[in-house]
Amino acid sequence: MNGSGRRAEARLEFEEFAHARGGALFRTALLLCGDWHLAEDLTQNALARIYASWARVRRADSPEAYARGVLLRCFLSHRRLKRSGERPSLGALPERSTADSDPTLRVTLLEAMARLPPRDRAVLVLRYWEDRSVEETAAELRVSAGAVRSQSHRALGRLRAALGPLDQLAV
Amino acid sequence: MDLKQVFDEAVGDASPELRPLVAGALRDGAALRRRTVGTAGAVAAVAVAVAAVAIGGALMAAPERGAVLAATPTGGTPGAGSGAGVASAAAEQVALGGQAAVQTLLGLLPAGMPVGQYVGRDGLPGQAQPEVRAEVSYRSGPGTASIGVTVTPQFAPDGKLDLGIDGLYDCAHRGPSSAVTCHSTVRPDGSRLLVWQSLVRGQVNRGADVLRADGVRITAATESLMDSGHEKVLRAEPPLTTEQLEALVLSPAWQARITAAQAARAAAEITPYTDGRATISPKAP
Repeated sequence: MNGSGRRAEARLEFEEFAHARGGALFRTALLLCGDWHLAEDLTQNALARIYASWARVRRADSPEAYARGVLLRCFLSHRRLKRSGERPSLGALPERSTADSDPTLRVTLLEAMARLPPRDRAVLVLRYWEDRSVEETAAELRVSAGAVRSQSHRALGRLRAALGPLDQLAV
Repeated sequence: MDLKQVFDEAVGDASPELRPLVAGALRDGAALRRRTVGTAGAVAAVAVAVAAVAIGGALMAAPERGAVLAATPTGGTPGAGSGAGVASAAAEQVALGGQAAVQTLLGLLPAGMPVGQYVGRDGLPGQAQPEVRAEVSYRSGPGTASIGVTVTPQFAPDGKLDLGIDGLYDCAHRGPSSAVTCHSTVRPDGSRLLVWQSLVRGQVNRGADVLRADGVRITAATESLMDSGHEKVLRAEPPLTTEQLEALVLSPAWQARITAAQAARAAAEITPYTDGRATISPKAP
């Protein structure tokens, strides 16, 4: 196969990966940033970086884990989060694709998450959404396991306080 | 209910329109790869640009605030810019940065508009296609409102406007909501224009978004508060109308490349300035 053939094949592979995993990446981004449009931006940015390194990513043990790491770094390096005003804002989440979700819970949760510092949000999302262990979370965030535990404890406390009526949740 | 269930019930069904996201990722990723390969050349270009700013002494005439918004937008000829003194070599042109974007935005706002703070940004780290951002706060009457502009110089390189981005300029793609008004047009020069307004929990948002035939994308938005999700809505209206926003994005003053003299003037006038961080304007009323 010649060079252009390989490039076309790699592109198709990436597109398949992006369509299969893009939704999950987006939901993680949404929990991290709390804004639909910014979550789209973060997802696209992460996918772009993945595509730029696709030859390496495709050989990784877990391209999904690699993609999640890229997304996390995109989020944490995103210094200014308020960008939703650049596009039509329909609220935190458009109605179109969340018919089965609980909108009240969604708004309450995302607002509560938004009050947490970015790294606390990242800890909660990795631990309780992505089901990563303390050690895996520590490796992703490049901190110690102890730091993850204390950050997780503190973030959960803040989340409980912020969630109000939902403060009965057990974690 | 455990937190995993809360997360799942809250966003488990959230699903974006993946097609434009993937198309954008392909475009940005390819550009990022090209840029990585050409890093050495880019560094040299930056050095030339910095040198050009340093030697670009002559300051150009300040834009009259309100002059462009009052004028009928022309759709713009790239490079039409400010005229005098610009006819020199291309080496004296530099990329638009946050500081110059703030200056351009201030120059395009209606005369006498009370502006409290400004923030500019050259582009996010690692972004394949840098988005230059300028934002100002509006202080008059109750609450504070915001006006922001984002310029993406190479949103559609080579004038290819159909790389999976049609949805961006399709009102239907923006999501169904009775609270939104939206108008999409293709202008005679081939540029795409979208103007919209939404009302969300009392917050009024308006915006205009143009993708010019030269591939430069300019979006402008104004909101009836400064920080969505963290402030109470105190104002009934944002400071600019949709017509004013349309004129703002269509202004030929927005250029991906500006003269070294313009950059130097922005550096002199928009100060104090730190990229990406809000700064109190010394000219604030």
